[in-house]
Amino acid sequence: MNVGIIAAILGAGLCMGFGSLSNGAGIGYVLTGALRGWVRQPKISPATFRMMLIGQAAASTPSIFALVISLVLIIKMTDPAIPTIAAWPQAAAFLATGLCLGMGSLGSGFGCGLVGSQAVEASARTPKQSGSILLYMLVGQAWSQTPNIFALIIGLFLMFGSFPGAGAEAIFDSGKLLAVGICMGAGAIGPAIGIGYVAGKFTRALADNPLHADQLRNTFFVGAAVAESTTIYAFVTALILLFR
Amino acid sequence: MNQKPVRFYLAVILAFICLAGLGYSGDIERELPLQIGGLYFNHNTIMMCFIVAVLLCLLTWVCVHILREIPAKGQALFEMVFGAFDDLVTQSIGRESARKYLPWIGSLFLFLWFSNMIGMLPIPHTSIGGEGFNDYNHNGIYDPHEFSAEHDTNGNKVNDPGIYLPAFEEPTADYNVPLALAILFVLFIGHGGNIRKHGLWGYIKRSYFDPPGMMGIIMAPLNVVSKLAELVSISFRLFGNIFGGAVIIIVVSGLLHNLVLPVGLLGFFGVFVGTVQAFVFTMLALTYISLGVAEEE
Repeated sequence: MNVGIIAAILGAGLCMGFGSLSNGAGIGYVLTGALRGWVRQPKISPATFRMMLIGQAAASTPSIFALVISLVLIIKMTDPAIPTIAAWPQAAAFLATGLCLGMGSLGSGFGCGLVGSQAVEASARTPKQSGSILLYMLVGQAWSQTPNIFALIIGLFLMFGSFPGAGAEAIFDSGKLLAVGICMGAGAIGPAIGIGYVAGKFTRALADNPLHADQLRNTFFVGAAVAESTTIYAFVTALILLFR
Repeated sequence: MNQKPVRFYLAVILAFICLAGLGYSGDIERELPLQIGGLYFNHNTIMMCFIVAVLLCLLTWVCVHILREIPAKGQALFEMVFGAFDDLVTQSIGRESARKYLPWIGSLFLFLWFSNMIGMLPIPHTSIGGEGFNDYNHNGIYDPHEFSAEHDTNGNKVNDPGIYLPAFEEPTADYNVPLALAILFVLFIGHGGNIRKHGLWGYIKRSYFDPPGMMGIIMAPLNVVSKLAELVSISFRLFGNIFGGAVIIIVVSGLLHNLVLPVGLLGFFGVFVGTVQAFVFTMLALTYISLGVAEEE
């Protein structure tokens, strides 16, 4: 048993654990929107139910990313090449992968749920607009997953890169790789929730006032882009740290 | 009004994919045996793209040549898809430009949808001639990409796989395809349309010095980075979802020793995620195009 394998196990556990932590809450939160919708419009409950299922299924993407990364970590653990390359930096990279994807899925999981909840309630409020609300719900959820996708990219770089640092360099490299994981992971939490909040409120506003859809959409795009900018800073910082 | 047929748009998309399907050397190493003039081509992906395009051409050709007054099932479906996209594009970028951009957006969606669906056909790797090859490498690990001929000490070919026919994998599970599509749609059509509409200086002013005045100069580097991030996020979203679905299906099938066909997984990751992600990619491409070329009221 060497340190690389231990780090891979720890990374896989952290990744899946953190990844499903808030995604469960988010997926459940969609149901509260559906319940409020049912109370408002009991007649169209089948349509609301369909919308809820679509929202929940689309909201589970962040934990699926976490699942994929933890599965690949577990498969990589059985790779016969690991015992020969198990240096401290490699172990740190495995651990950082888990942290990065796990924490990166935290925000997106809840953000997608926020969008879904508001969209389901909005479609029950204004059933005529449900087509465009569904569309913007999917776009909003996709946008809320953007920080998670940045975390996925950094995670793939960390997992498949080779980090042979040895001697005095080793401790420096290990710290750097852990910093990359924490930077991207933590940097993805807030913006994802923010984008989810913006997109959810936008779908509600669209249901309240469909006549001003163009103006609302422009405001939504600008607001979500500004909320996204902080995760881009984290992404750029992580890339600079990784390839410096 | 332009009257170019669907195959024109598909041809441009394919040409871009062939260009971007060039030498892919990452740490997830693949054998790229098709080498032309020092450039490596990922031939499996390119062949799958051509298969999708040919299927799509045949389908549209059939649907166009059996037009009736009272639509049959296939025609009705096509008209529904076409009408939905016509409405979408018209709402986003106005009636005049919609005529110009609808064929792009429509063929993008159909191409992506068929690409995401085609991986569900259970057709494995095959080869004509040679000794054939198997999907398991010498360590006994499932590795569908290791199939190049090896040479023994006398320089004779051993394990010659023969002429290679592609396994039916989703072409979108190769990162080159989403990246090529993102470059084509976001960079060339979106930013190019913006430059054509507003002129080069107008494009730079509108896109990069975003809040006019002093604040715009401060924000300019951040705007450049966020435009690049658009390109990265739109392509990785598609790749991550399709590739992730493929990995999960392979792992679960392996755990069940392929005894039970994971139909539910195929239904979720193949049909649902494939459709949603094709639609999301199309919508985001349309959004990025519309930011540049939308008609002012």
